[in-house]
Amino acid sequence: MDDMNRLCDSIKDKILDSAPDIWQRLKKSAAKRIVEQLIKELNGVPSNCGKLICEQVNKIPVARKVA
Amino acid sequence: MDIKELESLDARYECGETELFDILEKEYSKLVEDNPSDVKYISRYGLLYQRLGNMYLQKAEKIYEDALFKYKCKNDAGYLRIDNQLLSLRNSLGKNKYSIELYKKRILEYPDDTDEYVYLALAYLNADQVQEARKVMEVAGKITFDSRTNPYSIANFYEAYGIVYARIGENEKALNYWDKAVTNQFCMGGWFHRAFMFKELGRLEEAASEWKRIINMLEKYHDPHHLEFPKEELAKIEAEINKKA
Repeated sequence: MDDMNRLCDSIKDKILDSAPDIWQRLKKSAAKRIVEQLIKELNGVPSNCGKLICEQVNKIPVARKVA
Repeated sequence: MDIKELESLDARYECGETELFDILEKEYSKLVEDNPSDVKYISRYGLLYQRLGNMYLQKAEKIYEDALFKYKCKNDAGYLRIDNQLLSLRNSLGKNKYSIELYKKRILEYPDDTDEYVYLALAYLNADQVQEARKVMEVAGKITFDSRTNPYSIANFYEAYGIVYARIGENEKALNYWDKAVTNQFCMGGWFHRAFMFKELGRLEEAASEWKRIINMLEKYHDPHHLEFPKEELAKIEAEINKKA
């Protein structure tokens, strides 16, 4: 088991030596894929209780809206 | 002034000639005074101010947009983001869609930055899209935290997650998250949320205890003027407790 641990540590050290930010890059890459999936899920029809279905970007002057 | 002329000025004002405000204000205030039960004039008079308010909000929006993302690095002194102000302002203008689209792009660009998720969730909350806000926070909690995460970002995350849970009705979870959200005297919004929620739930002893925590912190670190409101709230709650006793 000790040999196995030493081998693992040595491989890990080699990876870190060759690419010190490897874990950060892997994490960022994984996070990006998760976010892409999240965005797809958020692009569905908004939930019923929300304003987004009826919220219009406020280009109509208030007076005309009232009229 | 002839009513047709007034309507013409009104239309020009509506199209952006803000300098006409003073003339219109004078005319409409007189019309309302002379015709106190004429709803038509009252309506136009109110709209005059409403439109002025909207114009100011739009001006403030432009100021914020120009300054957005011009902050210093997260760990620098003086790091400040104006995103919350822009979110709140766009909510008033009925422009939450813009905020949502903006922060969707931001989380794609910075998938490991907790703050961007928090702003997206807050934009969804402003739009009453509570389930969407919850989904964003769940993902943020899973992928963005590590030992290097800024403590203020963590605090903001907990505070926003507390608000999401409160909106869903999971009050105990909200209260726990808000407690975790308080890090120091500059970041104590969580205690205010707790104090208000305890009061709403009729848990007056706990509400009083939150206000006491807030007052202690403010007394130690802040200008005494900030104490006025918490002390008033505490006094009201203690009066209610005494009435029930």
